[in-house]
Amino acid sequence: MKNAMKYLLFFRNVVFLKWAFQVIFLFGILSIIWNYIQNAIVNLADTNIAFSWGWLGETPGVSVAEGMYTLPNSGLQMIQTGMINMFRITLTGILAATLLGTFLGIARLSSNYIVEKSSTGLLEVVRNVPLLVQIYFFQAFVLSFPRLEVFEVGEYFIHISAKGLAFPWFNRGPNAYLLMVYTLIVIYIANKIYKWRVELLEKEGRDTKPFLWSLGILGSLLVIGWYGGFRAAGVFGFLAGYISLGLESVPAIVYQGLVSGVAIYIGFKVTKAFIDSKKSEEAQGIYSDDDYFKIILNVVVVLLIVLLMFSSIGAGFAGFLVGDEITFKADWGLPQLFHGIENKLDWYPHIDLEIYEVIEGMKKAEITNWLIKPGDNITEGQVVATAYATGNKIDTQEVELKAEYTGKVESLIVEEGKAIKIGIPFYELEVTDAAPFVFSRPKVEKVNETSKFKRYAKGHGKSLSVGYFAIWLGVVLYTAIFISEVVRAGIMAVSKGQSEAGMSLGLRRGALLRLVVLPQAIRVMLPPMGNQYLNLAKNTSLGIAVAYPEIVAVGQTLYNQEGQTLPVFLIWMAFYSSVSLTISSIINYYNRKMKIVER
Amino acid sequence: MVDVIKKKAKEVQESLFSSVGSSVLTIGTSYLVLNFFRGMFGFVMSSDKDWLAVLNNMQLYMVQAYPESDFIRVWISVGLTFVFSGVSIGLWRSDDRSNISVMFDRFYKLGLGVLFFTIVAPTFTSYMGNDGYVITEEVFSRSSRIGMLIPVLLITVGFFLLKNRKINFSFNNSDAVFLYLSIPIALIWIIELPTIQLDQNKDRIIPDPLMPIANTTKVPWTVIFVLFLLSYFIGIYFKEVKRLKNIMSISWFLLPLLIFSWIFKKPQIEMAEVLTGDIPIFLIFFAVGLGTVLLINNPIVKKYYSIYIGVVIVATIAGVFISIPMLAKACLLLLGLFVTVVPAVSTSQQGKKSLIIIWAVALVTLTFLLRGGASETGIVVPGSSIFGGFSLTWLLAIFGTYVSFPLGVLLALGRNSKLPIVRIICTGIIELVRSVPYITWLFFASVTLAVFLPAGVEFNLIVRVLMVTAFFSGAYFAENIRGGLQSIPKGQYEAADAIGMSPFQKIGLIVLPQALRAVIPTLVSSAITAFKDSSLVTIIGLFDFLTIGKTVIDNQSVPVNFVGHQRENLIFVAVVYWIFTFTLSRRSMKIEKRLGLGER
Repeated sequence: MKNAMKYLLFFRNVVFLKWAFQVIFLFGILSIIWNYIQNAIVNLADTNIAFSWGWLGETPGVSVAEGMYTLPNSGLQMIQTGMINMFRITLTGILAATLLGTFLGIARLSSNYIVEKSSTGLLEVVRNVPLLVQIYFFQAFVLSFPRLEVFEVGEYFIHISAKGLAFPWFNRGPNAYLLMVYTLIVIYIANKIYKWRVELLEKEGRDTKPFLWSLGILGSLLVIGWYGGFRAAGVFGFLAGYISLGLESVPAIVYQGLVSGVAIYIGFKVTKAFIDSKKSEEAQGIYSDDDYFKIILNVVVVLLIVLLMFSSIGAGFAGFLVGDEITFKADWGLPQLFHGIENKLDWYPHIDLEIYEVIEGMKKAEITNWLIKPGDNITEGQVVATAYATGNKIDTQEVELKAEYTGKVESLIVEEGKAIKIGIPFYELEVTDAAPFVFSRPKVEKVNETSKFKRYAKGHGKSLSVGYFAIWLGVVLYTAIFISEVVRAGIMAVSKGQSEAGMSLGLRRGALLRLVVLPQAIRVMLPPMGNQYLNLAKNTSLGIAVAYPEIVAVGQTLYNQEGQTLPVFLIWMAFYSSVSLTISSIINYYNRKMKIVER
Repeated sequence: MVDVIKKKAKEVQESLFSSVGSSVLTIGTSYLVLNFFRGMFGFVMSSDKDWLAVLNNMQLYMVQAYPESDFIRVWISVGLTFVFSGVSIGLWRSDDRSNISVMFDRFYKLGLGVLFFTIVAPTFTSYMGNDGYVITEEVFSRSSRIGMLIPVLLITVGFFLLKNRKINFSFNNSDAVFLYLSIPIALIWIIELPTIQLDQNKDRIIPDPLMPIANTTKVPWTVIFVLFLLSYFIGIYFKEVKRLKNIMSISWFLLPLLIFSWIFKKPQIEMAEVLTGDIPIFLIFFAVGLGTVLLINNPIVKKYYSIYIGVVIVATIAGVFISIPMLAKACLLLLGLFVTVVPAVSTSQQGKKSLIIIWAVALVTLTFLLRGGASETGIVVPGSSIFGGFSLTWLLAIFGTYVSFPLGVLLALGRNSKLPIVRIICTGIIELVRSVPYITWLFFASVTLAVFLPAGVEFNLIVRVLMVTAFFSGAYFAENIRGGLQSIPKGQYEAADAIGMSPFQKIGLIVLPQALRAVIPTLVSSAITAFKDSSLVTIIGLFDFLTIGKTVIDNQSVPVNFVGHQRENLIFVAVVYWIFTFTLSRRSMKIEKRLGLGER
């Protein structure tokens, strides 16, 4: 057979034809892409907008309606704000949609006629109306309420106006992160204790009261935590500080080397495993053309990664990791990340206090006189500095800047006589006395004494903007409906014998669902559930329709400003691809973990 | 009788109040549902809503700025669709018959629904005025409630009695559709709804005068209904003709093309172009096809036939990049398909004959459609496109599916291919397209795509959106079809190889028919998603159905002020979308059942 192949004319050889076709195909695709890139270069040259990333470092002349940086310093910070706004919706949305969807899915299987019919009705309505229409409707619903100006100044319980929705909330203080980390640790410990007591119960056969034990320990630790014990979580901040210090001393080239090293290692491992598998009894060491291709492909991919890492792209990537200040003025990088953790989780958290709007229309402040110096102990409400307030619509006047928390001054960031914009930090404070969470009710206040405009006071309750409310409710309801279908299908996939067996053991309905049906249903549910999470993440991009500044909306604002449509589009693609990849790999991980271990 | 009531009561008790938890759930849900209906009723009836904002703008909704002088084209399009549906319903009329009591039961349930609403509807409704104070008003007075209650009750009881009487009369299920449809047609002539009238100062006359609902549309709708009925009978008459069914299937495929290129568009044709361009191209390609079919059995031709196919495919690909008339490019593509099919079909004299006829018909259709589509439109509208409102939504949905489906098949085949480079590229395209949300691709179409096109080439935004949609839905279709491809057992491929089929024959005759059949339900749900997603073009500023409801009418102040009536319009838009998607999904469930998918 092999000899016969030798005498075949080359254009009659199947293997030759196959690869010739593929190479032609590849070159065809590449030439099409090259053609379009050429077009783009010509067109961009004609319009005088050269492709560049420089705008990421420049200060955009626009503000963001809500989010981390409402007055971003650089294009990258603005995009970061959009990303975080997107995650705000995605993460809370996934949680809410899962809960609601599971509830609806179980309701659809209920034997109760009214419950079953009404949940089916809800399903048919929500599923068959475009999401965008629903989002617009929620927006129109909120906007149809009166303007905030017609309401009296004062505190409310739940308040809804054309400006959005406000409700009571536990607002985070500087110590909130400490308490949250502490709570997570306590829950982990309680869980471990529960498992230990259950193990004991199974071993010794006596009632070890696992539930009571874990609950008691959870409760007592939480009480200790609330009365100051939460500062124990500060050990993480302590560690993060040293990690950040260590990371800062790492030069960028190490990261480039590290990534290339890992790529080479993985490539080598995979290829070796493949070659080994070919040496087995069945394969007999015969390599087909596809096998050669696979090996070549592995080598090429690894080489490409290494080349890329040591090109300007790799340098830029490593620059991000080490947190070069040159790269676009954003605090992106591993050291900065750990430094942030250190600030938030230190025994006494450090916070940067920002210039706030003392009088309406104020845009900038020029510090005239610092009244504090590093090391001072200050109390809440104390005047820390005087400043000239300036703005387009107001006369320059002197104002007093007051301390927002009690603590010890770490450092002064801004010198006297320098003008800075609102929202920029001007001194650093080590907070010594503040509640982790402050419960408060929403409050309507005037923007300032003389203004006729009103707003929801900051730090009082929680107020959601119209856009946030509309997009959140829209995606949660829409996804929950699809999740309910997934849950229903999952539960129905569990064979009836299982629940009958459970019932014959005397399990109640709730316990049956929790212990027998759901654990088996989850295996069927996970992959489609992951798809729904992906859809939710992608659907948040509709926030642009209701002026919610997530990454697409922010990107659009940016390219309207700078004219750089192509880089913005590339950023969108990179961002959403990595979000999709992350979500699907998390789901895959759980999928593997949940799989029945087969013999 | 007492036994029946006892039995019913027991059923109700078991279903609703079997345990404490169940009772709580029942009462809680009933409370929620009741309040929801009452709230909806109050919302619809309250005096700060102006439903005339919807009724008065029906024209905008349907065709946006399409000139009134050419409305006959719109009616012809709608009429043709109904005639086609009529013929199809007639041709595929099932023999399912139902007893008349089924129909009475339907009316009885409808009556029960109305009765329920009449009873639970709130007398008063309240809403928050602009000053922040809650306004309460009477929307459903006691007298009108009683006035409605009595006739509805009588009708319901009447249908209940009719339903329980054993009447020995049955009707065909398809016939019932026409009976049901005749009710709204009759109602058009009877029921009167308010229409906005303006006085000399262009002020609205209040109260608005009652007029038969849309005087302008009742005659066309009646004519269309009569045609619908006639074509139904024609369909029944030719039920046994098998060929007609095939022709009908292809016609359904061509109908939207015909409507959008010739009827709706009103192309302006220059005879010189037709004589110098279209007719020669048609003749050349017809001659090539004819020659291929006639000479296929010649041994020399047979020997080099694969080279011939290769030449045609290369020419087709090259044709995309060089500037030749659009028609020539399309014909080349068609020729490529034709020459791959010819050897399989032209084994007999009969097959050759029909191949020639098909080739001629296909070429004529293609020339005809492309001439219409490529010509300038004779319709002058303000704005960039004659398509707007529902016609645009429909255009996007149908053409999005048209273009993306074949692309999806190709991508799926590529991803399932044994050739590694092809597989990697197709996988890359599918995953890249799918991981980014649709709205981002729409922005790509509206702002970035122009950068990649050769200088001087400009497409209308709608065309660019269609190009991007083709790829986007194509990637989703591809994933669905891949599922179907994977469900085909290996034996099928091997059997095809064993009887000496070429790869094209194997895929076209063995693999695809089975794979597509298996995934029809998912394909339909993808198509539904595409239809729903077409509403996203609102964001990039196209005037689709949603834009009209959301933005256009809300900003309308001349001749009548409709500012601030967005919610009514959004509800209307939602209802229309709902009707279409709900019907489609129900149809797909029926198809699923008929094909016996998921059951063994």
